[in-house]
Amino acid sequence: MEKKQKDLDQERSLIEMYSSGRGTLEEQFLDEMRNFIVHTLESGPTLESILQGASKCIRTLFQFKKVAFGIRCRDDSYRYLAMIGFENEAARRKIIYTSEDIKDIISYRSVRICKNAQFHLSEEIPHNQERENIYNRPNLLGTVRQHPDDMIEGDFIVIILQGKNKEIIGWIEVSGTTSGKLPGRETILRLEFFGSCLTPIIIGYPEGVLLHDDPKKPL
Amino acid sequence: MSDQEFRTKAMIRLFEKMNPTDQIERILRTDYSGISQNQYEDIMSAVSIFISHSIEKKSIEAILKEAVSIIHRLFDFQFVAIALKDRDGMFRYKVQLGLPQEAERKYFELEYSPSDPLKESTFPSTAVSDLTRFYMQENTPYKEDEIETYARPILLTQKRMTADEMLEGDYIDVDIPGWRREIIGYFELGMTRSKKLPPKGTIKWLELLATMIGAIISER
Repeated sequence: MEKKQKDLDQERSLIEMYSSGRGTLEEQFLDEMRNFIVHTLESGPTLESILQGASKCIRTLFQFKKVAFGIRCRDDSYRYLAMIGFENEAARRKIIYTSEDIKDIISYRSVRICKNAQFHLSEEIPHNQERENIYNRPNLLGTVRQHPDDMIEGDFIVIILQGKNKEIIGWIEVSGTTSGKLPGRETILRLEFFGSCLTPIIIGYPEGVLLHDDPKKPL
Repeated sequence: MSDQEFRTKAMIRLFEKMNPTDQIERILRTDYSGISQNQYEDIMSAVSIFISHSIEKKSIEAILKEAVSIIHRLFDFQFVAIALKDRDGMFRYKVQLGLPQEAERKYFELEYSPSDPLKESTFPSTAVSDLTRFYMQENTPYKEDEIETYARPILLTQKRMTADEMLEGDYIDVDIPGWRREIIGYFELGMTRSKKLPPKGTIKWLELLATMIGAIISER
């Protein structure tokens, strides 16, 4: 059989077109997303470690100082399973939300932004002295916002994660931008997209972890 | 004063009267629209919807059918197919969009071992990343009996006029990685409507989509 000869000039041209340089910001974002998912599929020993990795990835990609994942557990409660940037993680891990809490938009009043994101304003958070220890700087709660586009202590954004039948399986919570200003619209859209990509991994995580008897383990 | 200027000034006066919380709520509601504003956002939105549909779908075939449909719609390709690894370890095409019926019948009869696509003597290719390989017409990356699987085989002798031109015999394979990075399938993409090779951003999107499909279907 005749050996096929590859056109080497063409090969160089393709590599130049598709493999050289860092690419646009959008291309870099897609690469980072893919690398994160591939790494997750390769290793991911537990869902908790995957979400911890996702927290780090979000902090790097989106410039938020604090990231947390709330996940629905087998007893239908919602708990924080992974987080980064919080000084008192233990206090946050103790918090338990019921399904009613999640649906209660009066106590947890927020402004819906983009598609699956909710912006919780510091001014609207009900005062709860018992929960002040979940903030890194509780003494700054209640500080007057100097400019409408400031992001202040107590502000946070929630990206809702929906599983089968649109059930809420958890959320991504981010706060504290490195600039101290509200994040851009593109940031929120990309964060929502990140949440979409993570959802099948959360709900499809191999049995053995998800079927753990511990009621704190997520569904 | 034009109507537009009048409205803008009225808005500013209204804004000044608001308390700070109302001001920021107004900013949030107006500036953070979820409506797509460019092609990149269109693709993000479509891929998100595809993922949420995939979670609901019972069969892998239904997921793959929707995948070829959105790739065909969002990107420039006239031909899109997805092959999966069967239990016997051979890759076979499961869905396609863009081939005429007779070519489709022959195409679905094809089967490849995991090492076949990497055989330079039969299918010379250029890897542009860990997932994507380009097969270019000049290198005849096909066997004699595969010629009938092309939509327009008569064009397989056409000469390339510019480096970014896409020809009938060019095709691109993007691997679908599963858990533990085993390759469980691949996208095959051919001929663009613009007759140009796809932009780099399209390849990045396809690689992410392939990775997501791998995550979704590999445990089923």
